[in-house]
Amino acid sequence: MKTEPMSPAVQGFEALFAAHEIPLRRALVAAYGHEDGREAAAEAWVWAWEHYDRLRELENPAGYLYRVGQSKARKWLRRPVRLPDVETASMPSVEPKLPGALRRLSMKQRQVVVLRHAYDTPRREVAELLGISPATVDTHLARGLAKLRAELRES
Amino acid sequence: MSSLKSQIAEYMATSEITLTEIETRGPERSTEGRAWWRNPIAAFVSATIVTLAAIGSVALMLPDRTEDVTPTQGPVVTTLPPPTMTRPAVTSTTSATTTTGSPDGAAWLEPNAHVAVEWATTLVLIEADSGRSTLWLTAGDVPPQRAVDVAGTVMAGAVYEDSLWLTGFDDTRGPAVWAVGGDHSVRNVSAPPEAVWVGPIATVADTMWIAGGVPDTAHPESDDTLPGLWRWTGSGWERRGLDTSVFDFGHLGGLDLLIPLGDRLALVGSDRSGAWLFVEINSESWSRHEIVPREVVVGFPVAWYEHDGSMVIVSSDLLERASVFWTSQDLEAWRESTEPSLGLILDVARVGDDLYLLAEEAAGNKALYTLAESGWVPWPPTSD
Repeated sequence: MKTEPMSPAVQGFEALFAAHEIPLRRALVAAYGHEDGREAAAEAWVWAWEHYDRLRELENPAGYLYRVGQSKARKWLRRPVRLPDVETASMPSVEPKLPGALRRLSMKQRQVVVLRHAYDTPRREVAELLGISPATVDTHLARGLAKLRAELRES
Repeated sequence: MSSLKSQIAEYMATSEITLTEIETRGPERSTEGRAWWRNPIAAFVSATIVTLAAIGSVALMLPDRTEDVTPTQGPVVTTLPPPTMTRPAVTSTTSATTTTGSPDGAAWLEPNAHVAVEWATTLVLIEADSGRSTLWLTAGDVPPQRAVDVAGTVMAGAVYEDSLWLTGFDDTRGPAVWAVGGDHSVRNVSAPPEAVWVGPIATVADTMWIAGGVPDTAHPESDDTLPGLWRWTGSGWERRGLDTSVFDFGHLGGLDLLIPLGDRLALVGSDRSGAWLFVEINSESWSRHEIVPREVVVGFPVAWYEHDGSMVIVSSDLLERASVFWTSQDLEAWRESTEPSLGLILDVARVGDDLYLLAEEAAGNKALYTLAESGWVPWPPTSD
């Protein structure tokens, strides 16, 4: 079977995808929930393919693609973030009120908390992805955790 | 219970595994089974990426990017002559001159302010944070006064029978409508039961309308919604049917704005292939006017105003953090212009003869402008 050689554009795109797919998807999942976040990430990659010539010139393509994903998700801003309920059988250690408490965080707080604590994303990578300073990452993390603890304690 | 950190990690990981199992069981969710874009290349790439992301592979099979990605032609709609706008024109004119930087007074704006609306000759600025919203009333150059808190995220507002009606959502009710009385009491109003979301709102000839989205019952697996339009009857919502051959939005498209055009209702909608203005002809039909025939999915209509006999629609681009003004005198020919110094425009409100524009600057802080003869100038005026 004859295989066509990959063009430089396809190679470059694959490298970009390999480097940034996971952090981008996780950031958008943290913002919009699992389903909508993954779809926003897919939309962002479609945009990336169509505009690859422009994207390859950017210093922080992941940060740019994150904003593309945000923009693609605009309709979902008009409804509550969808996070699945805790299924106690598969998540016995998780407080059932956790999804509701995460939902009530501001988007930035939820993203930082999830990226740092669920996915162990380095602080600097979170900052680059979200387009904020590392110090602001710390602020969102502290406030987000404080809100979560207060809400879970109250429950 | 485990530590908070490990609970968050377990919750996110387990939820993601469950979702991946669902996705890999049925590729139809990402392709034929949904109201996908009218762009075959985009649909193919997206389906490929979604599937490959789910199975952890990056070996992409991509089509040639030089292939035609022009969306298919939408339905042909007969367009009637445009209506005459009845609102009196403001005497000031806009010039290319605009000011730069934020006014000193911008410090009074809440960092999450995102909606501006007129109510009883007062400019109301609404901020939303963590599922709650606050209404701030402005009077002259006095800093805004905190007036009312609403338990939900407010997306838009309009005055109806002396009350300020708000649309948005809250965590428990989902789509939500509130009515704020002159005494600042807040009444929860049930949203239309079939609505998945509600947002645009306008009062036209003593009738209040809201728009939003309803489930696409032909594609129940899809997250896309069909445009919905409802009229307040005094005791509930009456849905007005929208001809899907006219209101034919592609993936992620929908209604963005409702506009009172004299005693007629006008709607602005957009999707990946363009933006349109729809003007009510009668209770059965609409005329469709093309505003911009190109992708606006990374730039969507957020506000409108009338000025100098023209209709102006503001489209904001979250990606480039910039906004575009589409201006037309006849609703047919639209001129595009930009005001880069304003930043990302969030909303525009008219209070009497004055226009106010709420914008977000690069650093994320909010700024308020008013339209003067020289163009948009900071409000309140900078004190030297």
